[in-house]
Amino acid sequence: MRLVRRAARGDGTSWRPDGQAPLHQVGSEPDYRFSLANERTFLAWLRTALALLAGGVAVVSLVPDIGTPAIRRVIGVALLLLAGMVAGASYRRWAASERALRLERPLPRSSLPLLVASGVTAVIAVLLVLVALGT
Amino acid sequence: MSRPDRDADTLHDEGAQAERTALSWQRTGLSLLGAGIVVLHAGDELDTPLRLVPALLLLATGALVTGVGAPVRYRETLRDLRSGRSPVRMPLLLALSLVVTVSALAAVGIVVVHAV
Repeated sequence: MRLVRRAARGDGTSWRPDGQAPLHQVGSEPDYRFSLANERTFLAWLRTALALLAGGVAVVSLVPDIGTPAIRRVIGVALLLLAGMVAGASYRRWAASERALRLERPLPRSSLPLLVASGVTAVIAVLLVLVALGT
Repeated sequence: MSRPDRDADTLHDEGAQAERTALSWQRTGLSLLGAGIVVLHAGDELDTPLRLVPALLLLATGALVTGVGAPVRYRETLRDLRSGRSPVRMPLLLALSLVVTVSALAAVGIVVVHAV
């Protein structure tokens, strides 16, 4: 991280870590339908994060029989960290998409689908192994 | 009874965009409440008063979003669309994602602290 003070540019970009202008100063107003669709997508990802959060808590404390407490803690923490990452990435995806809409550029690719799919698959695989070993 | 102003009761909501967005908010509010209840009722590792921090944060936000946020957002969005304003409310979305991130990290903190 640069410790040198950036010169003020007077356009709202100097204080942002990514050097980009604030959203409402970029491009032009997109079709409201796209903005609302973007918002709904953000909310859908946030609900995914909440489901992961609930899953993480459940594994740690509401599921007494699988594996050992230590293993459950690891899986639970993994799900909770995934939840936190998804929540943060959801907002970033929304902002990047809104920016692309305003600049009439193609929507950027999101890492979210792959992140969630691989994370959840890994956890399910581990749980299946534990259940199989336990029987 | 005279007919009310036509413009006032014409729904400017093509494709039910505003309504679908409000429903999405409702679902998110319910998910917040659900997650909050799960955290609240967590036994074992998370059975410490500390879990009230993420639990109450989630429950309070869920209650606000379901009870106030969704209907207000709906009316606000319709007003914006009628007057040609942008319905985008960035700070709202940022705040919501922060609530979830903070709650998740708080839960991680509680589990880690109790394991050590």
